[in-house]
Amino acid sequence: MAEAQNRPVTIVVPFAAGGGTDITTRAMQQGMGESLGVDVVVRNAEGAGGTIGVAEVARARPDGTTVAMAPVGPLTTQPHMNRLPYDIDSFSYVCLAYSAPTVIAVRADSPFETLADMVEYARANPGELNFAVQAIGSIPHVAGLGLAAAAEIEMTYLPVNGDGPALRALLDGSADLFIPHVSFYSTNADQLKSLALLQRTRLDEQPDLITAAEQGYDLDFPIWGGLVAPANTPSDTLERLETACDAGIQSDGFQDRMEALRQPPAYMGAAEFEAFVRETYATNRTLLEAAGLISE
Amino acid sequence: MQDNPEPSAQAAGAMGARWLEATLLAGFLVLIVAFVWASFAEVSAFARSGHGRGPYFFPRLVLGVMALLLPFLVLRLVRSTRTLPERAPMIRLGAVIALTALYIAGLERIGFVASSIVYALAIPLLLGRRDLWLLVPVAVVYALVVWLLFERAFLIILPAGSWWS
Amino acid sequence: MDLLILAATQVATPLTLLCIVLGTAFGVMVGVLPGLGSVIGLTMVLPFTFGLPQVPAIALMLGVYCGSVYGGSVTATILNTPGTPQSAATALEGFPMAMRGEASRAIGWVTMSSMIGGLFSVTVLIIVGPALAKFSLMFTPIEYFALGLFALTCIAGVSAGALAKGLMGGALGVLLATIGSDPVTGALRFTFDSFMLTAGIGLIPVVVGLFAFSEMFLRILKLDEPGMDRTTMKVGFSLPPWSEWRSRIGMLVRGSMIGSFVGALPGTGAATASFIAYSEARRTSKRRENFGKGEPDGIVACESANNAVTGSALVPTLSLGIPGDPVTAVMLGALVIQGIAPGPQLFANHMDIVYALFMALILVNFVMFAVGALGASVFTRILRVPEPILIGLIMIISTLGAYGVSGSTFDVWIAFGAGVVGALLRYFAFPVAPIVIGLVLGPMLELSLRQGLILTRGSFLAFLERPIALVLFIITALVLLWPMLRWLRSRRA
Repeated sequence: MAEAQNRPVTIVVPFAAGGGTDITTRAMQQGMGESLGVDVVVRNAEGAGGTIGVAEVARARPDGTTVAMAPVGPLTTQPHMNRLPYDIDSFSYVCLAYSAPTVIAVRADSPFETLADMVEYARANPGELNFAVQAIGSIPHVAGLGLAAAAEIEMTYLPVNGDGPALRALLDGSADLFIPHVSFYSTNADQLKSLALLQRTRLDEQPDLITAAEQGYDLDFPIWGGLVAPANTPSDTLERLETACDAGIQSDGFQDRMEALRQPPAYMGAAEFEAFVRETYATNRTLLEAAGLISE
Repeated sequence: MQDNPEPSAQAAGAMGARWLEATLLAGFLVLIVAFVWASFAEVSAFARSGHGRGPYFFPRLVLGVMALLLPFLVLRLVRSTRTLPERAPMIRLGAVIALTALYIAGLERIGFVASSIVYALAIPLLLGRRDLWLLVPVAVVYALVVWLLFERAFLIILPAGSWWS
Repeated sequence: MDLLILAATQVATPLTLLCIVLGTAFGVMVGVLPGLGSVIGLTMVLPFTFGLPQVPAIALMLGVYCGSVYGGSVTATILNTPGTPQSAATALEGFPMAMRGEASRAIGWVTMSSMIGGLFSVTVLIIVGPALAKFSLMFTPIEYFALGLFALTCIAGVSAGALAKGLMGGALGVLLATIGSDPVTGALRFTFDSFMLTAGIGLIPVVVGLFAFSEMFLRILKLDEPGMDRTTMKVGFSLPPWSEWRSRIGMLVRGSMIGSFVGALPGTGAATASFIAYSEARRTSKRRENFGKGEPDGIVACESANNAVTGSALVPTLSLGIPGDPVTAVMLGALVIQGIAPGPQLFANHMDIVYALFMALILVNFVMFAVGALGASVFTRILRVPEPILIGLIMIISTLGAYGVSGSTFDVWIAFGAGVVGALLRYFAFPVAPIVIGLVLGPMLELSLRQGLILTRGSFLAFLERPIALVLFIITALVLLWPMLRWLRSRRA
C-alpha cells in the first residue's frame, strides 16, 4: 500500500470532456494533487449515461489510485433502469464535490412568464408542450416527470443529446422548455428565461431566480456529484482522499472557477455524502417507477 | 500474387479465395440474423409509448437494407476472380495477427513497456530481419520514449501490468 | 476600430504568440499520432489554460484545435492510417500519391489546402458569423434528417466500382452505431449481455482498426512484392506550382464552402464535411477517372473542407452557446471557465475578445502551414524506415491511439477486431470508408428521424412540408439519379 501512495491518482469522469462534471473535476485537480503530494490525472470514460466510467471504478483495485467523480445519474437513477455491474454498495464514499439546483428554462421570448402560465397552457393543450430531455433517466428528465406529476400536466418528451442540443432545440423552436443545471442556465441567460428554480430556497448568489416552492410546487432536483472509491478501500486511504477533496474545494483556484461558472459551492464529508446518496437512490426509484421507466 | 507459376495452384488459390469470401458473406448473414433476433428483446413501457417509435424501429430499417443487399453480393461472388495470397505471406500474416492479440493481452498483464519491447522486436524477426544490433535498441528506445511521452507529457496513464505488483 | 486595436495589442504579446506557436505545434503532433485527435489534445492543454489570461488561453486552444485537424491528414497521406474519421477521405487520394513516390508533393497539397480552407472559414466567421448562426437555427431535426440522408449519398462517391459492397459497408456502420443505449428511449439494445457494449462501439477504435491495423496487416502480404525503391522516395515538402493550382481553384473554393456550411450546423462535423466534399469532387471533376489513384483534386477538396470546419464550428459555439461536436464542447468549457459566456451578448458586449479570437485564428492557420512545411521532412522520412520494423512501431502507437480515448483495453480489442475484419474486407475489395461514414452519420440520422417523428406527432408526410428539408430531399434524389441521367444522355448521343 505504501507504494500505491506514490502513484498518480486517476479521477475517472464518466462524462465527456468540456461538460460541467468534467470542468468541475479539472478545477479541483490541482488542489487535490497538492494535498496528496502526487499527480492527479483526470480521464474521461464516457458512455451509457455515465455508467461505464463508474463501473470501471467499482471494479478497480481498492488502493486509492482510481476514483470516480460519480454524478447523481449513474449513482441513483441508472441502477434502477438497467442491469449494471455495480450498485450503491460497490463504493466507498469520499465526498460530495458539487451540487447545484436545476431550473425550468424557456426561451427568452417565450409567452410564459411564470410556472402558472405554462401549467395553464399545458392543461388546456395536453401533450402540446415539447420538453427537451438531455438524457433519458437523467435528473432533468426525472425533474420533468416530477413537474408533470405535481402539476398534473402532460408533456411530449423530446430526447436530445445533452445541454447544448437541448438549448438548440429551444432556440430552433422544436422544444418549449428544458431543465438545465443553474450554471448552464446562467451562462446562457441572455437567450433564456427561468420559470422556476427547482430548490426549496432561493440561491444567495442569484436571488432573482424564483423557486418552484414559492409557486406552489415542492420540487427539489439538484444535480450533484462526488468522489467515490471502490468498496473496501482502506480507511486511512479514504481519509487522505477526503482531506484532499476538501482541500481541492477550498483552494482559491477552485473557488474562482466556480464563480466564473456561476456554480454555487457545496461540500459533504464521507459519512454525510453516503447517507445522502442512499436517500436519493430510494426517492428516485419511486419517481422512475411511476413513469414506467423500470422494466421487470 | 497474380502471376502464379503453376496453373493448378492458381486454380486452388481462386477456389480458396471464393470460399473465404463466401465465409465473409456468411458472416454478414449471421450478423443480420443475430441482430434481427436481438431486436425482439423486451422493452420498457416508457420505450413502447410515444411517437418516437421503439428502440428497434430504425435498426430494423437498416437490417432490411442489408438483407436486400446480400443477394447482390452473392451474385458478384460467382464472378469473383480474386485469388488467395501465397502460403508464406499468409502464414506470416496469421502469425502477426496472433502476436498482436498476445500483445494486447500482455498490456494488462506485464504492462506497456515490457510487452511493447517484446512486440517491437518480435515483428521484424518474424518478418525476416535478423540484425539484432539494430532491432534491440530500436525496440527498447521506442517503447521507453512512447511511454514517457504518454505517461509524463500527455498524462495518459498506460497499463502498468498486474504482474509486477 | 478601437476595439480592433485593443484586440491586436492583446494578440501581439509574446505570451499569446508563444501560445499560438506551441499550441499549433502540439496540435499537429497529437494529430499525427493515429487515434489521438482534437479532443484528447484539447483536454491535455485544458489545465494549462486555467493559469493563463483570456486571450493566450483562447490562442492555445485554437492552435491545438486547428493543428490537430491538420496533423491527422499527414498520417493519412503518408501511411494510409488516418486516426480520426475526418482525415479518412484524404487517405483515399493522398496515400496513392505518396506511394507513387510523391509524398512531399502530397503533403504540399494537404498543407496548402488546409491553410486556405482554414482561412476561408475564419473569413466566414468574421463576416457572417452571427447571421450564419441564425440561419443554422432554421435546421430543426427534420432538416437534419434530410441533410443526413443527403450526406449518405457520399457512400456512392467513395465506393465507385463496388457500389453494392460500399452500401453494405455503410449499412454495417449504421447498424454498429445502434449498439448500446437508444438515444430516444434509453433502452439498451444489441448488447448481447455485455456490459461494455452498453456504451456502444467507439468511433475512434473502429477507425484505428479499419484503417491503421488493417493497413499494417495487408502490408505483410505485399512484403515480397517488388515495391518501389524506398531510398529514392522524395521526402520533404514541395509546393505544387501555380499551373497545377489554377485548375483546382474551383475545387478549393467548393471544398471550403462545404466545410464552412457543414461546420456551422451543430452536430455534423469535419468527417461529414470531408466525405461530402470528396464525393462532390469525384462527381464533378474533369479528372474523374484519376480518382483513387492519387488525384490532387480529391486531396484539395477534403482538406479544404475539413479545415474549413474549424472556423465555422465556432459560429454556433460562440454566438449561440451550442457546441457542435465534442471538440467545440471542450473549447466552450475552456471559454466559460475563463469567464467568457457565449451567446449573442458576446458579440454585443465583448467584441474585443471576439476580434482577438479572429486574429489568433488567422495566425494559427499561418503557423500551421509553417509547422507542416518544417515537419514534413520529418514525417515523410518515416517512409524510409524499413517496412518490417515500421509495421511493429505503427501497430504499437495505433494501439495506444485506441487505448488513449478512454483508457480501456476493451476499446483496443474493438480496434483489433475491426483490424482483422477490415483486412479481410479490404482484401475482397470492400471499401471501408463507407463503414466510417455509416458510423458517423448513423446516430445523427436515427436521432433526427425519431425526433422529427415526435415533433410531427408520428407523421412522415409532414417532413415534406418543411421547405429546406424538401429541397434537400430533392437534391438527394437528383444525386442518386445523376449516374442514370448521365448514362441515358450518353446513349442518346
